[in-house]
Amino acid sequence: MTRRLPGAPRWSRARVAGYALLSLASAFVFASIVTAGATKWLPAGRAGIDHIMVPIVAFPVVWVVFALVLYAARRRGVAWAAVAGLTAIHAALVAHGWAS
Amino acid sequence: MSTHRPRRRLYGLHRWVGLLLAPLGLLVFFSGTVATFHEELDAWAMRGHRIAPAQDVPGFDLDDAHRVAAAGVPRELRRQVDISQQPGHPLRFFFHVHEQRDGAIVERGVAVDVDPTTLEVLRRRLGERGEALAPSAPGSLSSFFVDLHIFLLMPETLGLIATGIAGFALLLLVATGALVHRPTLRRLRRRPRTGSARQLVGDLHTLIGSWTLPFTGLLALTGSFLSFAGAVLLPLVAQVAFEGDQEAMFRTLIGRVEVSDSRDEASLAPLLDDAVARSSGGRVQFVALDQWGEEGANATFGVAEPSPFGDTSHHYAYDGHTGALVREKPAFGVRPSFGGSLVDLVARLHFGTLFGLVTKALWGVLGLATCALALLGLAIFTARRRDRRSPAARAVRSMTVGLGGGLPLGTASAGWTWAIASSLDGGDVTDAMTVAFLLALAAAAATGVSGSVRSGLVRTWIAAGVALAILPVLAPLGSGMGPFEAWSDRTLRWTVWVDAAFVVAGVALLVGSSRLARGWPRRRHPEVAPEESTPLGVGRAGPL
Repeated sequence: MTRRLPGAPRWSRARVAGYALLSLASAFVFASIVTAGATKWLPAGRAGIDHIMVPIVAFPVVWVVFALVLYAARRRGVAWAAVAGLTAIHAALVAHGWAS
Repeated sequence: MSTHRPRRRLYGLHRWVGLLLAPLGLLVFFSGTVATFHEELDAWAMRGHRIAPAQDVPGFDLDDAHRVAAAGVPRELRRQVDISQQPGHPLRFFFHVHEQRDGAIVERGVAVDVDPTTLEVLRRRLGERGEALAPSAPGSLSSFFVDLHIFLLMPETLGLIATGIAGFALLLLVATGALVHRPTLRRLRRRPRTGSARQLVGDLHTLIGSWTLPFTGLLALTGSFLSFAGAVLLPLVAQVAFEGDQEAMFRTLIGRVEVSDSRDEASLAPLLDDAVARSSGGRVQFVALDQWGEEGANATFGVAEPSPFGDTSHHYAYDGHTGALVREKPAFGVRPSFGGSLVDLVARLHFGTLFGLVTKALWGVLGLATCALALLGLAIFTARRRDRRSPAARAVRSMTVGLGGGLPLGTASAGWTWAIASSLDGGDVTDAMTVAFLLALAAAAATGVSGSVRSGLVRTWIAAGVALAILPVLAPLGSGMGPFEAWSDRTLRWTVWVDAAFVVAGVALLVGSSRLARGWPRRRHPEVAPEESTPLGVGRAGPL
């Protein structure tokens, strides 16, 4: 049967659904920025296309990993900070590329 | 409702994503399973309208065919030409230009179909790529299922995003399912309990899900990539790495071919012979002419070298002025690379062409297993609803029957409509097939609203079984050749397997409906506790 850990907050079904949607949508945005930013630091390879192809192929995996971490991590604050930090680094790479 | 326990949270996510994914996902999985065999289905549907492959026509000259097709085509469209011939179809020239519209590259031009034997122009169509290259009536059967799988009957970009989301949701289901159910060797060997319908459905869902986990994960990953890459990611990467110039990005991805400064125009026929000779007699898949008739002209010949374990692809790039071979290049980039090989592997894995017909057949079986997995998941949810008259219970029942019975019924309806409409009208019959398919889904869903899932499935499976089993008899209306005539032709003897597949599918549905009507499963094991059938023991018994 359903058991709640001592001290755990009681969330309504609507709040859980809202949090799940927020996690999935945020993960999509974060994964898109990481994919775009990864083209700036990944090596282009012999044919000059690896830095484009590899992040795009990896995008679905990055999205799913981010979504699961944001939604199900025990320490939500740490999870959001880690994912947002990784995204911020890639966003900075994209911004630096545009500026230069 | 919620706790900080990750496994319980993941279980909730698995259940709700599964329920929301079911309509979209089942449509994608089922049409994808049929689309795996689109080449065989197309050749079966085209058997009476076959046109000889240009490569097999004695004395065929590609330059003459190109000249005939290009007559009357505006000069600006003649710079970019795609030439291809699907088995049984006419030789097709697509003269086009690339235009950037609403942030995406659009190909617009004129498609010209030529009979390679007589060099007669059979059809000309203007428009964007999809519109201009729309199939003729007999070819509509396989293209309907391919388009259904890729675009879900929606506009192009919206359809790609929808299938991409379905792929992502499936990947999420695979990940959460693996974390929640934790498939172990012991669980993989465990036989499903037949004590009650609810136990059997729950155990089968876990068992099939565990065994097909690598396949569903692979298909979800590759499918999500293929959908999102074109619709979202490539335009995004073009913004970041190519200052928004998508044309420049695609030229980098395909690989620039450096050519001489000459102003001459090379003949295509010797290049065709050279490409075939270099690939040990391979079959030419496509010819792409770039900058043709202008500075920088080049031609790429894509040739498939047959092999028992999947074709080997070769791409030969020629100088469009001198006719000299510039290089043999991979599909992406000018030289072999990790990224190019990765994308090639992803495509081969998704389309089931990695080891030829062996992987195709395996993908077909596993695709049907994934459909069964999704339906069993819906059945679990239906069984747990105690308030059978509530709108939610009716909606889930309707969805279960609408998809479980509606998809085979829709396939049969689309097949019947293709055969009948093709015999009446030689044009594109895709719209009529779409209406028939959607009506079948709606009719099946309606039976689930009023009655039980069991009775709804029995009725729709009987209708679909009968319709599928007699489709081979009706098919000559569309294909223009009866089954006996085809079986007696040495080159078409293999079509007996497609006819047999329809009959077997129909009989299987009739047998399944008969067993379901008798009340399956019949054995009972009262000693098995009902809670054991759910991973977290939160399920409750209910009628199916």
